[in-house]
Amino acid sequence: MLLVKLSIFLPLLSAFLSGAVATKKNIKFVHFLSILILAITAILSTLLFIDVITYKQDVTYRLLQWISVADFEVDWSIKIDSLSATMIFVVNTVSAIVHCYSIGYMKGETRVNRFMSYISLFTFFMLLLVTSSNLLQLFVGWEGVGLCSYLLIGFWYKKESANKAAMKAFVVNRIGDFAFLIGIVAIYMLFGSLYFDDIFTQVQSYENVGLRIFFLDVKYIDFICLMLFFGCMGKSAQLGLHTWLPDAMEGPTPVSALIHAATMVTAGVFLVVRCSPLFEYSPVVLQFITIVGAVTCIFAATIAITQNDIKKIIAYSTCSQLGYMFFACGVSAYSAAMFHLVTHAFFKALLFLCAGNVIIAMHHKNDIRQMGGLWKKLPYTYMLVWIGSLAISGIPPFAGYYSKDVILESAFMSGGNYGFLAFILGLVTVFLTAFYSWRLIYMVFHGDPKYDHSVSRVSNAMRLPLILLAAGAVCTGYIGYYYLHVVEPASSYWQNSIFVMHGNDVLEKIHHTPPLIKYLPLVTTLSGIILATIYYIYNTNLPKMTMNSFHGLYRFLHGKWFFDEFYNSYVVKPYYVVARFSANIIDKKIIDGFGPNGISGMVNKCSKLVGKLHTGFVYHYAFSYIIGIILILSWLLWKMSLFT
Amino acid sequence: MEMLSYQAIPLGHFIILSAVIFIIGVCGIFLNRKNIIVFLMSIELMLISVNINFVSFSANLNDVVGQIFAMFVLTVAAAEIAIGLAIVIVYFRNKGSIDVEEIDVMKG
Amino acid sequence: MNLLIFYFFSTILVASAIGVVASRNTVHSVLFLILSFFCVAGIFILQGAEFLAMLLVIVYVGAVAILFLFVVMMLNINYVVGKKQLLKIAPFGVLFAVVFILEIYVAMANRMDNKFIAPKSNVTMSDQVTNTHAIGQVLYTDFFMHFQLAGMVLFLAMIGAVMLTHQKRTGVKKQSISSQVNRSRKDSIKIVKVLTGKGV
Repeated sequence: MLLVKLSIFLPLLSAFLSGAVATKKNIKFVHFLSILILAITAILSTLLFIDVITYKQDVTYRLLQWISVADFEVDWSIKIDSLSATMIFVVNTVSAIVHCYSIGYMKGETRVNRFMSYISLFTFFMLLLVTSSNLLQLFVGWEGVGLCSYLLIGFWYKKESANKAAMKAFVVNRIGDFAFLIGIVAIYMLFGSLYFDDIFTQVQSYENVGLRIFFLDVKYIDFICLMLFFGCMGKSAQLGLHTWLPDAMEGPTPVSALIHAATMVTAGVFLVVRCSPLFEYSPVVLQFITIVGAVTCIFAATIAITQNDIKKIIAYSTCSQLGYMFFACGVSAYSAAMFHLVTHAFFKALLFLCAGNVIIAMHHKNDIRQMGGLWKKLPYTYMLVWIGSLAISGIPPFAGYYSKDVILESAFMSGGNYGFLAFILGLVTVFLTAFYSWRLIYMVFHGDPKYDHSVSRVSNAMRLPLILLAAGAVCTGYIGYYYLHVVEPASSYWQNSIFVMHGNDVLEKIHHTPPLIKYLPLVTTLSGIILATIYYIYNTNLPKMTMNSFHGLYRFLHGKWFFDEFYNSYVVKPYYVVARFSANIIDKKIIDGFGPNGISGMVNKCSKLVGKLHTGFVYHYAFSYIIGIILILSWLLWKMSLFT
Repeated sequence: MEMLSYQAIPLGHFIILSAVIFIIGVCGIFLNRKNIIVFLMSIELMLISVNINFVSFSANLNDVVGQIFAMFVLTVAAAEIAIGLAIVIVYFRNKGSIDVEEIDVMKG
Repeated sequence: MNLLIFYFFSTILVASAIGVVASRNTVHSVLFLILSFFCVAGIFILQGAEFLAMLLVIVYVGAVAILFLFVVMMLNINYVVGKKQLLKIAPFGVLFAVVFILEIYVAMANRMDNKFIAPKSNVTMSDQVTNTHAIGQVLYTDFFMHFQLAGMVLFLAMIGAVMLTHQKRTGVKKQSISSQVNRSRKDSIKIVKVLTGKGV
């Protein structure tokens, strides 16, 4: 119990220290303290993880009373089971590594304590999200990570593009959150409680309840799951609500590593897996998830092959891998999705932090067309990028191989049309993933240097933590697959945290995949690597030739499928019109006109009017006396009924 | 010669007379567009009318107290005129004219 | 007979009152005021209050009206033509005047004669005592305090008038007794050593 509490609340202490206690004098000490706290937390969470796995716990600890109004009761409580323990472990480890890395990356920046405070706070909120035992607390964590991502993306607030990107992230997230909130309300209305335990035990009895929305009749469960998934689409940057993810690269690289690779964007996947009992009863929504995930996957990969900013390539890569996780959920392979989530956290964070190394070395320039030949100057980083790329492409024995292949096999063996479609798209994406990962390596580290300034040295603080991540990228897959049996259907790893309906158990089926399908992804990956090598090592004119011959396609892909422009013209601009109308006419003229401004104006006018009585002429005043006297006299006479 | 019979003048006449003089004084206050002196003289008219009222009532009721009070009114009127004219003089010194239209310093 | 005299006096009174208000020349207004004072004195004599009438003539005409004349002569009063604004407010004035008089008439018409409340003294206006005697009997006995207060009021008025119009004149040589008395040797004598042939 103490272990649990410490693991979750120590980052909050670190956030408070960095934010409130750090001054110019003790800033180095506070940083050190903050890293120490996070490192302790990481160790504690590892211990917790081992504890939970060994003893197969599934406990809920109640912390504090929160809301208790009539029948609605929600408390602050923590749910520890394999799912949350895994997530705690991942979040804390990556966060500790990022904290340590930030010292080196943010050297020379002003107000670094604000940065440290924010990332600690972010860690805390993420932990709150993954350990919550009810939807409302999860939503608090959800919103909290959204807030922290806004603060962190806009960390360099003097840059206008950073501010805009932060706003974009927050607003697009908010759209998803709106749907999520509707889902929560719908759950409460149907189940009468927001606690996961209560909901999951009651799902079966409510399976066929119908709901009438406007003019449609849908299944209640379908509606709930759809709304929850829309929330996930916003948070995990799936197609449609993905526009914030590439712009979020305006923030410092450690932020991108923490938030957009390892933790925040995986909150959506976590939600779907956590609510797997709900989603299992809604096959329609599962199909929808599969399609969305698969399309996102290939969509992001096609954009990534044309991007020239090192961070944007990795950002789209994240988007694509998230698509993998989602369509794994869609075919009911939740364990595979979680497994891929964990491995992805490690190698994506590794890739981001190595990109950070390169950016620092290049004096904060991101364009890969201006780099080249860096493998001599940054040998360490070069090695780590190789490890990360091997992991992401799915080359055995690196981590990505185990998780990705399981996902692809599940998609193929799931038997439905959508699963097959997802398999095809996933396969093409494997090719594209390999291509853009090696494109990045070759353009950044090989070839002739296209820059003319000196390369900065990368500090130790930025190198050493990456070893841990590399170890994770290398070993996690192997350990997870063979030792922990993460994706074995009969394993006791996940216990009750994931629920799969009978007949949907695709992980059972993948034992029977035809061998061709088993090795196809590996072959595709290798062909992608070979193609990239041809393009960027042997014949460096090929990229330009391809660009020119497929000019339209290149423009389409390079322009991110013109999603931003589309949204801008068809969603944002009409909304501006409405908002401007609301603000100027309704708010200013009508409400203010009749309300405060109107009343105060009226009072002003009346007092001016009354003020005109003060003419300053004494005889006017005397006249008013006389009138008063006559009136009183008349009244008196009338009262004495002398007029009658 | 036979004494002319003494007929008391009905009280009402005096009261009406007093009212008329009073009203003329009042009208003088706000109908004058000339200067402050007329203003002060209208006040005198009002005081005079009140005096007529007092004395006629005292005659009617056979009580001399009315006349006593009329004397006091007289006293106060004299004092007030003295002060009022002193003020007018000082005002004239400061302003240079006693045109009624220009005394609007308290405007607003 | 009495009535005729009353009407005579009252007509002249009303006419001169209107003359006070309405005449263009301010001096004419003051003269009309004097005339109205005389008429009022006549009315008082008609009532049998001859002391008061004489008092009126002496105080009002002899002091107040003369004071008015002095001020009128001293100040620079222009011969002003009645302004247009008069016409705007005149109807209202007339209206209120009429209303007031009507009301007074109504009040008078319905008065009840036996319900007057006033401090009654035992001194009446009769043919046995002169008016002066009657006033004297009451003034210094029952209304002694009021009498003193009236004196105070006059005193105050005198001081006030002098205070208000007092002007500090510069360039007038005046004695300041206190500074004369407080003169010290230091201020007045200065001892200088005079050298022969040099002078002061």
